Amino acid sequence: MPLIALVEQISSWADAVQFQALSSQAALVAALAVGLAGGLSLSGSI
Amino acid sequence: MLLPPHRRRSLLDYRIVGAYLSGTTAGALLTALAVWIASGFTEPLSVSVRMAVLVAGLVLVVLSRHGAFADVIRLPEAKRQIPAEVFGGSLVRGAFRFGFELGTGVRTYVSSVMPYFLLLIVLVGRATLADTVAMALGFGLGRALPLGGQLLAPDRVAPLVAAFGERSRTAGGVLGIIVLAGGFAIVDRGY
Repeated sequence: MPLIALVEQISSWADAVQFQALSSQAALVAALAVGLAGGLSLSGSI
Repeated sequence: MLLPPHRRRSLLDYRIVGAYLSGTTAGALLTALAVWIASGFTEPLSVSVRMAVLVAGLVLVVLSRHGAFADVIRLPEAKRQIPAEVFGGSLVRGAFRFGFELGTGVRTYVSSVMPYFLLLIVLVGRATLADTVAMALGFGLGRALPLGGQLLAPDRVAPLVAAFGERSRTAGGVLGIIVLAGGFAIVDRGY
């Protein structure tokens, strides 16, 4: 039935978006860590 | 020295450190956003070409600072101290301006290759805007962390900074691994 196919497609899109969101959260944490390491590499006594 | 070495801290000391942290973060954000905008020029490159250029760029940076190209290629760097005039006026405003200059990375010495790595990750790796902002915030925080540590935990910070200086090669290696591993996790792989 078209309605079931539509629901399956929307569900598939939702799964894809959720994966992207999780991936983005991990990427944000990685970016923060990368920046922190970069800043620490230059830091000394002030 | 932004924070004089005495144990009793005043509200002014907290304001100075807060201003310094705001400055380093704001400066880092400015540079990061400018590079992120410029990264649009690398959009026509395919993912494989972009990765190859990124790796080549990282190798070139290391060789230009520590290796075979050290006498041939000079990495962009302002070879001067930040002028004392930035502290003209209030200490808090001066701390912000000093931190801002350090955060941008364009007005003073760059004693490590890591900032160049970060710029390459954004420029060639085409990190997303959110990741670029997160990287800039992390950079500003990392830049201000030793001063914040002096304020909040002075008895622990000085030994840590001394240990960091004594084991600078190991510490530099660890930080380098974090930057490289994290950097490749956030570059645009065409997904």
